[in-house]
Amino acid sequence: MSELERALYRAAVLTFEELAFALPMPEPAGRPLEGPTVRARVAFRGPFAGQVVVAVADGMLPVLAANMLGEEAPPPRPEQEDALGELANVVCGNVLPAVAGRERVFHLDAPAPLPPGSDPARPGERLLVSVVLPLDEGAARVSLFGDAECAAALGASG
Amino acid sequence: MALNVLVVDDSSVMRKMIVRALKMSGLPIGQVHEAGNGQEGLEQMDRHWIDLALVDLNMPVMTGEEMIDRLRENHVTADVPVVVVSTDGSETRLARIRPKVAGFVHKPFTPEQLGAAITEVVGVLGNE
Repeated sequence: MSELERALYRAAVLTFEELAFALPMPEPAGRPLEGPTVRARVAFRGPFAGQVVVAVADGMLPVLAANMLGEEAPPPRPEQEDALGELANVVCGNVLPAVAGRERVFHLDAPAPLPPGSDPARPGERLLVSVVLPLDEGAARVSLFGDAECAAALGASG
Repeated sequence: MALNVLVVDDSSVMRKMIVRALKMSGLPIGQVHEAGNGQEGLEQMDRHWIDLALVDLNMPVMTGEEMIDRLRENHVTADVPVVVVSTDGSETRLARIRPKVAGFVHKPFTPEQLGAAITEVVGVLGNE
């Protein structure tokens, strides 16, 4: 696991544990997501630009959202999607200082859902790193996309 | 005396998490008002008596930082304590904001961490 992967994994674990009480299982990283997924992105701008994308199994989203709200029953679908966006937002806010330094200032856009089947990479961007969290409720995939400056700054060229 | 609290965050789920943490804190909480951005937050401050504001930074329409600046410019709201609840980890931005606020809670937070931060601020208020 590279330093970049490690930083993204740490930010993701912290976020899922503390916000959604979803604890990573001791399984090898990289286990694929199975079945339909739901995704949210948070784009960032600053010294370089990119986005964090969080994908979870569709059936896992109601459980995560209910956990976040401390409720037994899952909330309505819009709130479930809001919950996923907030997970992406918090991962993004935590991974950037870890990989870019705490002095750098980034602007984070509001979380947005990704349409099913769409390519998350925007023009000029590519996937830099992706980690999978095997959770009790199912797997979650967290990915960092970036432009060429982002890739160079984070040592993800190639 | 019960505290009237304003929670400003563009995520309704995050607002609910914060309200839940407030209720779990054991603090005497009165009315809780919510807003989805800084502009709505200022409008809520106009309408209600607020003892404490919990404010996110990255929000559409008006950021939390701009809302805090507007509060400080208004003599009616200049002294309302603000606790920032944000993912923002930039030391540069935090150094700019820190003198204007009573506390800072970094996301992700546990209910206990949020409660402790608010208790610290409320304790200071109680001693004034």
